[in-house]
Amino acid sequence: MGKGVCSIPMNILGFDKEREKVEKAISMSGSEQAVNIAIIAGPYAGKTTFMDFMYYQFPIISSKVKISCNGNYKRDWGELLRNDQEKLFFIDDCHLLYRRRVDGFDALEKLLNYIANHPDYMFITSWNLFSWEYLSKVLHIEKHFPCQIYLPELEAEDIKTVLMSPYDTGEVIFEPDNKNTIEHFIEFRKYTLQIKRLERTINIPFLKLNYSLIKEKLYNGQEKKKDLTLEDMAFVKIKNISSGNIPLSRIIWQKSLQNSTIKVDEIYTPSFDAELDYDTTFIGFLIFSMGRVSLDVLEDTIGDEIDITRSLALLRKHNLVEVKNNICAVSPEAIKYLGSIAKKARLT
Amino acid sequence: MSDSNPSPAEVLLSILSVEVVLQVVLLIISSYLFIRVIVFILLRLSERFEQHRVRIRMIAPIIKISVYFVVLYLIASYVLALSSSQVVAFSAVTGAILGFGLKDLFSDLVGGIVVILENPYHVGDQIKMGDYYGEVVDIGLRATKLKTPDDNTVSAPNSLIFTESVASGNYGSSEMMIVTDMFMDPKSDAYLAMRITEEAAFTSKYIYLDEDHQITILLNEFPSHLRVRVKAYVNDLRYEFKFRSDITRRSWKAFSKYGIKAPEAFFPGYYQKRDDSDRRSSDRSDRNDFTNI
Repeated sequence: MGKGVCSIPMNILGFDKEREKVEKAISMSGSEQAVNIAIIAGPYAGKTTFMDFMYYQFPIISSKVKISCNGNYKRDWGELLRNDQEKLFFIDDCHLLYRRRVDGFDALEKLLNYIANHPDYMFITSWNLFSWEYLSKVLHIEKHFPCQIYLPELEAEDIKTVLMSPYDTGEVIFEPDNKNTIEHFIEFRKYTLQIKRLERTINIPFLKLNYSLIKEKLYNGQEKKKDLTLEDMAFVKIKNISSGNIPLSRIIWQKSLQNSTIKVDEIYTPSFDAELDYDTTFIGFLIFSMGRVSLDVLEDTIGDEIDITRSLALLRKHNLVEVKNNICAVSPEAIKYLGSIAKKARLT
Repeated sequence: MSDSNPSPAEVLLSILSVEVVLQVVLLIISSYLFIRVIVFILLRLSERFEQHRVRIRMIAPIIKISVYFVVLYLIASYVLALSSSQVVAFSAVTGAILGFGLKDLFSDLVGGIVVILENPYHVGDQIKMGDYYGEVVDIGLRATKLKTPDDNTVSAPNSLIFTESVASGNYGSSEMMIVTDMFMDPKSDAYLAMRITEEAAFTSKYIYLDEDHQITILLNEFPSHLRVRVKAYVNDLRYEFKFRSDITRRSWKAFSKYGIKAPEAFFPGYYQKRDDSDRRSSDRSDRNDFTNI
């Protein structure tokens, strides 16, 4: 845990409504009892950037702390406030304060007690979405933070602004979609069934509803799509694949960009087909719900229940998790996949 | 008289020809293969969409029974083309057969139909029926197949539905309540034990939690021991026993850390012996230290 050190963000993309909500809550904090805020988002969805930005809007009256993924949080919270002027307390990555084991909630409960005993301060905290959902079920954490702000997915326009910022106009060429562009509400797809016993694969045709087209027809009308340029179509596609996630959008962009050209129909889509056992899925989910966590914390959480080395090796083999300098982090490309397998295993 | 009222044997002979027999056999084989394919696809789908596993598997017995009835109808009305008098004659034969030898089979078949229509349990449910306990893996016309915790497959006749009560732990859902008991010495800190067991439950990798599925911790006092009972939901009934042992193991790990002991009445003299043994080894260690000096 330490004071946040980062470059001063001048502006923030895509979270205007959320920014207004925080500013409104802060402006009201002087007149009545302060309302504590929880900023909630999935991994790599921009929590820290948003927190940094909000902190630098009120630098004199705020203090900021980022919880370390090494889990070093033994100090008293009061020590972190520098002077009496500081009334706003920004705490980033609060989900790193708990460990999913018996006796693993002491540090988090200490923070919640501190918050309860200091109604004169306003606490602006950030949480991983999946940890927040878990803590809501087991600790009813939402009661401590009456104002909950869920960061939305960034729009294609915002992603375009971020990704195109290093380039001059016309520097990147967008090539058209070579496929038949006529889309239908219902399409025939093939489900590949592998029969291990016979060592054969069978393609079973099935009907699939084109939800995006239906949604588009219902809400926007067809005209809007016709007006889209190739460039816009490329960024809409990147947005849909990345769910508005900037680090993933960057990876998609880098892997799709060839000789300053983006082929709209060949935009990179991450795909995974890993058969993971339950224990490995659980380890993957733990890392996913922490975003980044040190190996020591992971070992401390799991104990001797699961062979962590084996599970991590499997997760790394399938590029679902990255381990660098003893820190385990979910791979940006694997966010959707890990979310889906955790849901399938009923861990969420 | 004999011309106007043909005997069942005569009726049977008048209907059956090589062609008819072949048609009937072909219908039965094709319906059997159709059912196998459908069940195979449903099983694969249920594994793929694991969160809907139980619901998908529930469809299989309904399809099976429906196909059997359709095939029976097709055989009776189109292949054999029975007239009303022939139906009456066959009914008499069938009644006699059932009355004499296949009474149990008939009641099993009726039981199978009741199971399908009334749904006291589904494929994928963890049930207790009479002496049988296990996961329902298949509901057939005659019997229900259960997979027991010891990995035995048991065929429980469907007629048991009329004579035994059926308890379904999950009733169509994947999650199921698991009750885990832990016994401790009456001198133990009961509040601490309850807190530990609750944490062991909600930090378990097998837990299922939402607004309708909460953990309940109950404390009971007995003359010789305390009992902490944890009622929590496992996310998939397949992990029933793993979940229970996960809670027990991690609770006891924490209990030993905080000095919560198993009831002495369960292990008479155990703690006394252990304390004596500890004291003796401590004395030996002191003597060794003295020698070394």
